[in-house]
Amino acid sequence: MKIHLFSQCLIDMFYPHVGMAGVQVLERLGCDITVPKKQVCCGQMFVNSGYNDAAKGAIKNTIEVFENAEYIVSMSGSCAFAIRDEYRHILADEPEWMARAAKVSERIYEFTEFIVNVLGVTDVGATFNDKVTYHKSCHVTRLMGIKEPPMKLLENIKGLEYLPMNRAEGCCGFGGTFTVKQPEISAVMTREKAMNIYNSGANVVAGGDQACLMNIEGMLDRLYKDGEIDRRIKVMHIAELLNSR
Amino acid sequence: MDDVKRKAFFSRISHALGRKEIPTFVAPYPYEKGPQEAMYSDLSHEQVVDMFKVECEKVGTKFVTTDEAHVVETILKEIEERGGGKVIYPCCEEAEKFQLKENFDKVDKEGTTFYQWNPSAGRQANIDEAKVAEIGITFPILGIAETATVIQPSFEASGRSIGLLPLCHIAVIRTSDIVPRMTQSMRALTKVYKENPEGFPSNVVHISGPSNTADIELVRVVGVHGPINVTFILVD
Amino acid sequence: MAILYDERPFKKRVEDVLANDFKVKAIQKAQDVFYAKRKALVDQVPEWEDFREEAAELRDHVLSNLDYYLNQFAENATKAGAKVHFAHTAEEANEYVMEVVRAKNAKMVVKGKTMVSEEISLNEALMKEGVEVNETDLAEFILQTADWNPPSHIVVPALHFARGRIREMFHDKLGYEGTEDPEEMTRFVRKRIRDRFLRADIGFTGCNFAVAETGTITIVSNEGNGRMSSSMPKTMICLMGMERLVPDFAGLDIMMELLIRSSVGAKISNYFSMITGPAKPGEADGPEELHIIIIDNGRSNILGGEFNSMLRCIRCGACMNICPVYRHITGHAYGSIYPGPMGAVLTPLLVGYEKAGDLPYASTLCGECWEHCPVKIPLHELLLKHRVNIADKAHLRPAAEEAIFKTVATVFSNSFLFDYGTKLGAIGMKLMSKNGNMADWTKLLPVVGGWMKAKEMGTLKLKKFRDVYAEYEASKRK
Repeated sequence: MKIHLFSQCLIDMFYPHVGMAGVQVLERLGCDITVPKKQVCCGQMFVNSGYNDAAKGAIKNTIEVFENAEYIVSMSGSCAFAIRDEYRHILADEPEWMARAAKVSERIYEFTEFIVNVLGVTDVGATFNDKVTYHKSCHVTRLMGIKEPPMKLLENIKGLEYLPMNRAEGCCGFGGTFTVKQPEISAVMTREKAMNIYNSGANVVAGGDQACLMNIEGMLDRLYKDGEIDRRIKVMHIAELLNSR
Repeated sequence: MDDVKRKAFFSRISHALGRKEIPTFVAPYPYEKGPQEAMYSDLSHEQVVDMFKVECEKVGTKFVTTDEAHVVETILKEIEERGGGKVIYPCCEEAEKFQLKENFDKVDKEGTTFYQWNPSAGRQANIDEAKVAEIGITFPILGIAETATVIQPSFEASGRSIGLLPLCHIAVIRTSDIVPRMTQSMRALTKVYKENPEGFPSNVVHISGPSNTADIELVRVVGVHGPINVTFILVD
Repeated sequence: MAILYDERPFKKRVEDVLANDFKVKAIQKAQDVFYAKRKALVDQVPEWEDFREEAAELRDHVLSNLDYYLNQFAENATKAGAKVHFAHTAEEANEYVMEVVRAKNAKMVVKGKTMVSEEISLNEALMKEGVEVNETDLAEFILQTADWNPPSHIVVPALHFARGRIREMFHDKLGYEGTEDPEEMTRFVRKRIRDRFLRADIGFTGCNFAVAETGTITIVSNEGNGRMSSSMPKTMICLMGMERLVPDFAGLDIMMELLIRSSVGAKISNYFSMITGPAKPGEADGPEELHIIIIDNGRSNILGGEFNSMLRCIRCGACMNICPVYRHITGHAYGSIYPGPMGAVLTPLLVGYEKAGDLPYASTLCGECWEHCPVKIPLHELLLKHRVNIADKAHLRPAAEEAIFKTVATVFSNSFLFDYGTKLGAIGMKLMSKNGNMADWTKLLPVVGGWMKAKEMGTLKLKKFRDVYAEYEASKRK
């Protein structure tokens, strides 16, 4: 199966190893992968701030890069949501672009959704020996309604001990530009999320949206550094868990 | 003046809805698609009554069961258990039927007195009696099993104050009047309304236990403005 | 109280709340309690989603026929003996009230809990007229005793006061000599207010739902304040928002299925009163006169527009019982009598972006409010619509912010610019960091400084994922 990987700008800039984990997992599942070089950003951070006009550049770039793909897999749930659900609203007054956007919107899949629902795979043959909890990101879980796929994939990782956390589906406080526009509120929200993760007893927190993960990681590292929590908790994209042998 | 304002008020709404005038007909909302009708449809009436009792227990509303022949006896026993005092009761059909006045007149217990709602005595006289009463007795017309609720209308013979001002409210309801949900009770009220709109009670209150609050630090306190105790007497 | 009771900047209000640990903890506890109770109940109703769907449809049906149903309601309420008034503005509503106050020579009134009365600043208008006002909902009574302190929650508005503080206020202002036990204090209030209920010239109530087919108004309460206010005084004034209609009694069944479960996690409220006209001739209690004031106050501007679904709202508070932002900033940071997600959508619609344009940004758009809303208002989408109106259409955001977004957007729409821009960024970050950590002074930087005060910052990589992948692909080909 030929797929185009939408890597997400944060993975591209900060977490190349996460992108590579995604590539390797999908390759092992028989996918023929293309990572388009001209991709940048889905545009949601502008959209979420109300700057639809400014967002159009990023959106159109994404459409141009991906419109001829058969399947598009996004390493980040919120980007997949933006592409699937928001593009058509933003381009509503440009019929030609809307038609092109529709092609992309129809073919975009979130990473775990693609593996479970399209490839029909729930066991990728991974092994990961540690205690893991899972942050159920808002866009994937609620707005896209993808609840089962990541759980099914985690269930089948050998050696993985899953520990539920309190309010796993609660927002981590990232919220796109919320985190820089309202840093004081974001900080207390993320702190609560981090403490829920810590209190789950897990050594690793995983997720399917690198934006949330970056936010959570920033807080967990700070809390550890300041001595507020007594163990370092590793933050990993679910692709990294699925890529462990 | 009022008419002009009213017209302008409505024209703003119609305008917002893209029309010039108030429509003369609107197709009724199709409730039949909703889930409410099918709920509890498999329960027997006995099971519905049981549900009422279970719900009472869950929320801590006291109920006692009795039969038609022992209603007065049960009421008197409940009055005693609630500590007696001044008792206020309506002059409605049910009160007549159970000959409450005759039976209460026979009661000779220290500290227990009775007052029968008397609309002809006027507003102040009745409220003055109700406000110092310890116990009020009413006869709700319907019960809802899902929420352990009784439905009490007000009318000339049974004022609002009876079930509201006293510390304790005793509500006597026939189990045959208990329905599964508000779906059925609302249908029954609709029927009452449609048969005689002018006669529809000015006040119909659904009562699901004693008044309560959690306004201070979320601590539940029973008994705020309404009764502090409630007993449902279920008559088979 | 006006809709917006605190007009200081949002940031300032947030700062104040974040510094008040008791307030925040109280709201968090309320959220946790309501969450658990609601969840336990909703899990028992397999039909819950069907009910939400039906309720949303029913509300939309009413809204799209609002003129019809409102007219029907007014006619039937009038037939039942009520006097129905229509008020376009808050001022008009208060004028009607004062006409009644003067006609009845009213000196003292009692009020059941009504949000719309706050919306029109009724208390201020009454007091200006020299009328003694008595809030009778326990929480509203506490707020009144606290010199009209603003509500921090729509359903349990006085949670931000600890019992000790309440005792102190009761003692200082009302001569209360008892302990700080909530039950004892509640009994004290019962006794005090009971007297007012019995003596009041007018009883005010809100209206949870009005029934078009019968002209009935309905009042939900647990304490009995709504029941008392509508039963004891000779004159009753009901204030209702013009959108609060259901077609018929069957509609009440649907709304009541959802309202209390969503609001406080109970199946039903202790009292649910249906009032159809004043007391009938011969009745020895109940209101002799019933005035119903139907209030627009900005609603007709919302109707039929892009925010129409906001008018479905039944004021249950479910959105603020779940909102992770509200959880930390409480109602007071919104500065509005309507806080939380519904308030962040509604307040700007009622008072304008100039005054409340900050509120739509008090959200991460996480969608939990929408998921918990019993009438399925897509609150997160409406918040976003506000942002577009504010940023893109009205250009009301700070010019610097707009400039930054536009610049970044240009860079993020072109891989050439992006690759070079972020490479520069990576070099810059390296220069700003010491031993792999960002230097302390970076916390003072605009945009990212706020982040760095609370969280560590990841490192921008010189070699991006696409570069790494290109190398990987090349090595595979070898």
